[in-house]
Amino acid sequence: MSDRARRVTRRHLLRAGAVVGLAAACGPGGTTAPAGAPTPAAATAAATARAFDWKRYAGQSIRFLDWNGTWGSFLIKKKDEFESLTGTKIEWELLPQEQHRQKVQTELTARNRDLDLIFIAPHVDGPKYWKAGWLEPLDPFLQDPGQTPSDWEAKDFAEGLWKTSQFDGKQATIPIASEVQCITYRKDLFEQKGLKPPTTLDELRKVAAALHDPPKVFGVVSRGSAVQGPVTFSSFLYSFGGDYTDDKRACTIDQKPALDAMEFWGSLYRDYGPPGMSAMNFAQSTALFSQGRVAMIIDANGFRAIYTDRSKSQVGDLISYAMFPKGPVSQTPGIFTAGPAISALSAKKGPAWYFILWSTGKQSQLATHLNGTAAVRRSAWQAPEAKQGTDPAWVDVTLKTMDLSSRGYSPRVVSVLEVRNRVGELLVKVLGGTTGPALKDEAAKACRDISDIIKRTE
Amino acid sequence: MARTGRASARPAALDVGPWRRRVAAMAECHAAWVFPAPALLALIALAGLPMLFNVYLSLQEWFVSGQIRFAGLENFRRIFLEDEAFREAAARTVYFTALAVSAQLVLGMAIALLLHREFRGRRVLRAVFVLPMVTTPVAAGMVWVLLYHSTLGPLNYVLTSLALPAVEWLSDERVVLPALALVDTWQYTPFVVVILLAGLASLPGEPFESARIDGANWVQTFWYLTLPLLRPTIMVAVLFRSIDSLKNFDVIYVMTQGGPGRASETMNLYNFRVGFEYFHLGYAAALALVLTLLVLATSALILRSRRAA
Repeated sequence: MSDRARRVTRRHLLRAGAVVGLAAACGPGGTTAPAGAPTPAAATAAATARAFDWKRYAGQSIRFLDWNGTWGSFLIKKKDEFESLTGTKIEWELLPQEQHRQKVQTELTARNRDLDLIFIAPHVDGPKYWKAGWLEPLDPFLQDPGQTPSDWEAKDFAEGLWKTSQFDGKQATIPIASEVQCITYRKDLFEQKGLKPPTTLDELRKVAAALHDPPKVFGVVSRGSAVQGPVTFSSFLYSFGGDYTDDKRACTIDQKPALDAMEFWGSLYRDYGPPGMSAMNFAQSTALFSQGRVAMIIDANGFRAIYTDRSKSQVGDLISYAMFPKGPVSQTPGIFTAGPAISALSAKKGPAWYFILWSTGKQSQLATHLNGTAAVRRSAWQAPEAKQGTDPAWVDVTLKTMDLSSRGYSPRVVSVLEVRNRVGELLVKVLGGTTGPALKDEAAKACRDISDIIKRTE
Repeated sequence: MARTGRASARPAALDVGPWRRRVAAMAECHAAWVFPAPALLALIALAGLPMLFNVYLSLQEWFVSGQIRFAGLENFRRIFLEDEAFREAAARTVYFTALAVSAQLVLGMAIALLLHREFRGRRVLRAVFVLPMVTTPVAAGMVWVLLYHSTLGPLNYVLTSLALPAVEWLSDERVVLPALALVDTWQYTPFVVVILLAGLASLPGEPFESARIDGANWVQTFWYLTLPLLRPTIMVAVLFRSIDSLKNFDVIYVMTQGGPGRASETMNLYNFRVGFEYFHLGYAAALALVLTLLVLATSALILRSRRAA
């Protein structure tokens, strides 16, 4: 290279370096400090955190297959925080639930070592993935002070959901959401008619009848598709004293409590629900509610993020929350949690664990809590920002339901989706008008199929 | 190998050794095999070997979190003797195919006859009619979901403004398969039109002139002349559309995922569900094999009747 060219190159480098330095100083901060003034507690925590070697795995890159639920869609916007904290790059993919499950299982069946983190629901995916040996136990990381900072505090998590994320006594995932089934209702419509939120299932039916005014407003909506219907049906099933299987893994969906639950559920939504419910997943049911076309929606508390998103919802200021009502036997709303897990086939378990530390740490839990995904960490609930930034009715309903119930949405089997779908097909028939002896026959048929599935997969 | 008299004028680079000359000679002799060889190898690698692996898998039992276990013909026994879901899916597939193919044939024939005549703007109309065929099935499916929406869709809006009852297009078990067949018809009738137009254009003119002279009316001409002469072309159209309808997956998956319940679950969808949602991979491989054989059998039948024409 000529002398002149060399000089130009050096000058270019210096100029480029100055520009980059200036941009880094003025651009959006990539530090660990959260937006807004840090509290003294956060400053101490930050100091302790800095003593822990966050940059141990700097320079590596990991891959995370996540759901496009309210947690993932929100936290992905903060991924720069993680990348500058640890120096690790993350490829974070968001997919709808069904496609996510297919992709995860396809990649892990093909023994793909390129996948480091997956998002799982312990009640739904847990049994199958654990049995397949796909989930890396997190206990060695949790117990090693070199891998987990002292201020991360595993004891901060609510015990019930922490335990539910374990299999064979080993921690499979860190739970990030306290999801409970509850009623989200339009308090403006209730006030107009002078109604109070229902406390029993019979009251629920009466209130839905009073508010049902098709085609402008429908009384109540929930998920009704074969794939997702059972999720919201579970609370009805349990509150009537029924269940999917008993302790001996025998199908109990054809027993009287389950049949009563299905009759009630069917007549409630046939009479006071919108048309086309048997094709609705939560995307459609929450959209209908957000457009103001339904008075009540019975579904997860975590959808608060959807209802209060001004760019998509018209009902953000008009809603309030109530607990799932009492049934004839008990008040047992379904609960749910999910969280990131490390693939046992991954070659980068260390960096993957650091992602879990960050995404389930106190700051991230508070941030997602404020956004609408109820946290599992008690510190998030007790933080002053949380007390100001969240709807007190929502807080009240979530905490009371967590204390009341510990039943998950799903049947306790290995091939959860297969059994759940079979029950879902039954529910679609109920929505279509199958009742009485015909329902009994269909339920018996469903139980035969479910017993066959259990036999083949356990 | 004989060389031309210009051998002495050849540049040094072309002066290949005797070995190379022998290989070149062999290649020229067996050109019929040499030229397609790369494509053939690709086909074997990407289609042939996976097919063989599928046949192997269909004889195993493999639930995702378990071991692969040899099961012989157990999967096939279950498919044909025990699996009610399969039988129902097969019935739905045949129903869907019959609906879609007959609608496309009748409509396609009518449009082809229309476009075969001479009139102003015929070229423009032909181009417009072909448009649905070039849309992506998934995109078309998603738009039709909006059209079919129970409360927010334009179809029900039109029905209710004419004081007719709204139809739950995609959530009523009785209506969903015809509704899906309608989407398939919308998208692929142009395909049938194109094939039939080509057939019509290739028909000889003399029989039609004689018929006109003999005083045959339009219906008689169509029934006794056009249809029989066009039969081979019609069978080609039926063949292509039947194969596609039997295998239909993307539109149904995008629009209803097989729902409500199982009402629109055709064989391909059932196969996908068993394989990629429930992960019974051995059983899914057996189902795929059965579906392939079914499509092959249908094609053979149609081709046989075409030859008989």
